Amino acid sequence: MSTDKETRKKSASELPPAVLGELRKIVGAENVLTDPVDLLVYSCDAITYHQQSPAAVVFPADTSQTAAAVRLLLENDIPFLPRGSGTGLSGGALPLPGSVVLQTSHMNRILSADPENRMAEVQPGVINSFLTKALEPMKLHFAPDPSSQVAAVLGGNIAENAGGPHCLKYGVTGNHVLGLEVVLGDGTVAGLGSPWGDAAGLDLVGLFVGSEGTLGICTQATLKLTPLPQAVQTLLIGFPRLEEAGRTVSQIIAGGIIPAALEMIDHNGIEAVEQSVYAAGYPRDVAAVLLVEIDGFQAGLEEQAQRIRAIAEANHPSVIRMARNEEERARLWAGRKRSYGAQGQLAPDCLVQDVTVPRSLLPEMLEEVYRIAEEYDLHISNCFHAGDGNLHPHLLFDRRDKALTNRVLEAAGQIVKACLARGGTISGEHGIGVDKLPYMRLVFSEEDLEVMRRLRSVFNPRNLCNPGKLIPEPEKCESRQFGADAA
Amino acid sequence: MSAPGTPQTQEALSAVRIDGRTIGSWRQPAGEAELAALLAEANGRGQSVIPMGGRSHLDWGNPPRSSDIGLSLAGMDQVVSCRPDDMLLTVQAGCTLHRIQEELAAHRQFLPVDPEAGPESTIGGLVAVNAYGPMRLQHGRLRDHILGIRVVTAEGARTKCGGQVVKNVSGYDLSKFYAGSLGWLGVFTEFHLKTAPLAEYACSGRIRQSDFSALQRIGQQILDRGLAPRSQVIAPGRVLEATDPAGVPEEALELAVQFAGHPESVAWQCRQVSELAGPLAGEAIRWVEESAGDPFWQRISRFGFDSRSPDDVLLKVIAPFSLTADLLRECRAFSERSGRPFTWLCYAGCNLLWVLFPRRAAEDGSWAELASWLETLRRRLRTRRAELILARAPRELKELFEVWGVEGRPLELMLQIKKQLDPKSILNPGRYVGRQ
Repeated sequence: MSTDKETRKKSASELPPAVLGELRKIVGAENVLTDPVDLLVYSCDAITYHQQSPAAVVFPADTSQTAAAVRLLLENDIPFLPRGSGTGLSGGALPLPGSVVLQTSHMNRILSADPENRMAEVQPGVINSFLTKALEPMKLHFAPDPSSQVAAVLGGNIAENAGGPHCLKYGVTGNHVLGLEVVLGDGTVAGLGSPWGDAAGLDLVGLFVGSEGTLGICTQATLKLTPLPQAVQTLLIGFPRLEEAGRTVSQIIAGGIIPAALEMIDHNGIEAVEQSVYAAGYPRDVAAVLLVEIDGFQAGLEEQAQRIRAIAEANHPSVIRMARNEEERARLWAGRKRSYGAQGQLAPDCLVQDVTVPRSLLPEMLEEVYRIAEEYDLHISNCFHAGDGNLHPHLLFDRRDKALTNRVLEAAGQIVKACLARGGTISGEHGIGVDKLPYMRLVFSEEDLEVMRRLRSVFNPRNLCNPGKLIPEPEKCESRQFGADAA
Repeated sequence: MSAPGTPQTQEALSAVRIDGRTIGSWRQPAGEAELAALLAEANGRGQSVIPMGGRSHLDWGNPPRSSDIGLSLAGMDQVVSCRPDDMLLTVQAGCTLHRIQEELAAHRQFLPVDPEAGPESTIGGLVAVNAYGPMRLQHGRLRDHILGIRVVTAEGARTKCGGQVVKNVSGYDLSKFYAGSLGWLGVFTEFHLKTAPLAEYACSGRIRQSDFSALQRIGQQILDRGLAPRSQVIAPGRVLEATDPAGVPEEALELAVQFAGHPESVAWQCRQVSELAGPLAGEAIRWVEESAGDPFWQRISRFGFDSRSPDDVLLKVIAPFSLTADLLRECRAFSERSGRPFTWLCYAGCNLLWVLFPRRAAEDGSWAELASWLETLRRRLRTRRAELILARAPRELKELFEVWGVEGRPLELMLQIKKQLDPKSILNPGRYVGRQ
């Protein structure tokens, strides 16, 4: 963590004037930022406790400008990284000292939408919810809906393989990308995948999605579109006891119902939302609420809602409410989707974890989170994708309080370990970036990581494209060998 | 090393040919550690290894360059754990799809794929070809149901990717990446699979017509209305008719559509189809309620695989649904010119057309004309970003016409990946892209 002005000034001054001049020629002088004050915005993503000012920020207008900038930076051994809206929650868009940020926000056009084939061609700087809004008249949408979708751009969604509440039914971003145009980490341009969905050979699109900018920069994408559901029902169910909320989640899924979304917000999460401008009218005298949304055809939907109600009622809820109209539904969702922002009024800093466990272990894992909160004397709230087993404990702190910050970091590590002990993983949808990097070795062996490094070396041979992210570097140079020879 | 033995007999193994090539020797490791040692040894000696499951797709890919060791995964065929509450199944790579479906059916769940799979087809082999059948329209391909894989690399490293949870972005998403890699990058040993609830109810409808464009219109309207068929195909009536195919008029075509899920929702969607097809369909729609494992849809999954003749030629054309009529015209013109009859099956809504040139009674061994037509067709398809893969074909044709058709920067990247993960190219050499 480094926030001082000196570091920022040093970063800006690190770029050789000749390189800066060339960058200005490629994208136009007005599209290169070097003023330390301008750079401040680009010094972190939504995980604000990791900060590092870049050497410069460049706004390419298209694939060729991106490729030219990348080649120039490679020639000069300057690290670079792509950046969308900076809504990421793992420090994936955090610049390393001396890095140049390639900001994709000028590539923000929806190039085409093809309702017959249910696909759209987009540039990476298109905001997620803008695409869905544009598709409304065609009764289609882009299904991945990360909570940050009003700001997050599609290039970032692709880089992080973003999820969202409705991924329970519709799948994460990777399930909705057909083809990509990318500038690779070696400066070449490649078209990956097929708009028709089944490219021959290795699934390079599958590899690229979720690679956090370590393989290259997406400059265009062909996305799969999903019909808007004919009917939607949203239930809010409040429980006086947390374990009963957790049991309801497991029983709904085990009962063969796959809701469109199945979210949980605990008491602290409810308080944060209800005290904020995003107040959604959640009951405040409960241990947790579930937001259960089912969608599909009108026929049969009511019966499904009744079955969910019956499961919930057997678990002693204190309140069951159905959204009566679109306005009420939107309000319920706004509370959930803005819950991360709502934490801002409670503390200046928030560390949000993204651990995922098999669903049936959710109640047990939540109990463990609360036990850890108590042990470290922390304020933790939970707003998360219960149906996916994807927890988001929010650990609130003030980074100026060193002792508290250390307790938060230790508690975060304990949460990760508790999750791994239950067969879970360290990130369900936020990515590894720099924030979860220290935990990668808890999940993967050196040999697992070596496979990833070798793959990266094909696309990004000099590791100048978003270095220091996603894959920990080898501890010793000998570990770059595999198998029997490695001994 | 374990000697080859049960459940695979020596005779069965010695009869195995891949594009006419015999296997040097057979190995059947009993576990991952043994497999890793075996691969490390083969890699050290530069011996080629052909991993095999149930051998149902052995004729996929280009002819192998060499085949020193046949690696049977039949000794690793266990269900490791079944956790229905988490909709999670962990199995070894040699476990058959039949066993998996049986195990899950006891919990009213299933693995939602219906590829061509005999009783011997293993999950490892099916992932290697990223298998699917007609229910791909609703449920996707096998890759979409894999949460994690254990893989032994060519150099004998025991690795894993993904995990046991439904959402996971820890590291590269290699589970999807490995699916369809034809055993070219490593040998799968274990899978964590995401299961789905069995549908409460399913119903299929069939509409017979002689006009392809009328059926195509209905198929497109079903999708445009936002209906959600599990499967939807168009094919000649003779392909779909089981009992008396010869009794079906030659020109008759059929659209078959299946809905599955909540009974009320299925019934409503069937009514929608009846309504939109009413003015277009020449005959009334025949609706049939179905149970799991319906033989009609199983037969569709088997299209192109029914005959095990090595001289069958099966094309997989990945192109927009709207292009199907043009493609069929091209096939018909070639068929008439060459005297080579053909049949076909279109996965309507999946942008997929299967074209089968069955073995001719008097196959003359001359494949040059077909190879030349395929080259022309592939080039034309490329202008629409569409693709042509030679799914099954005799070795002679595969030597004239490369199976996968990957080129340019993607091919270079795939070959570099191969070099990184299998530097001595011991796994399935020659069978995958670029004849590597």
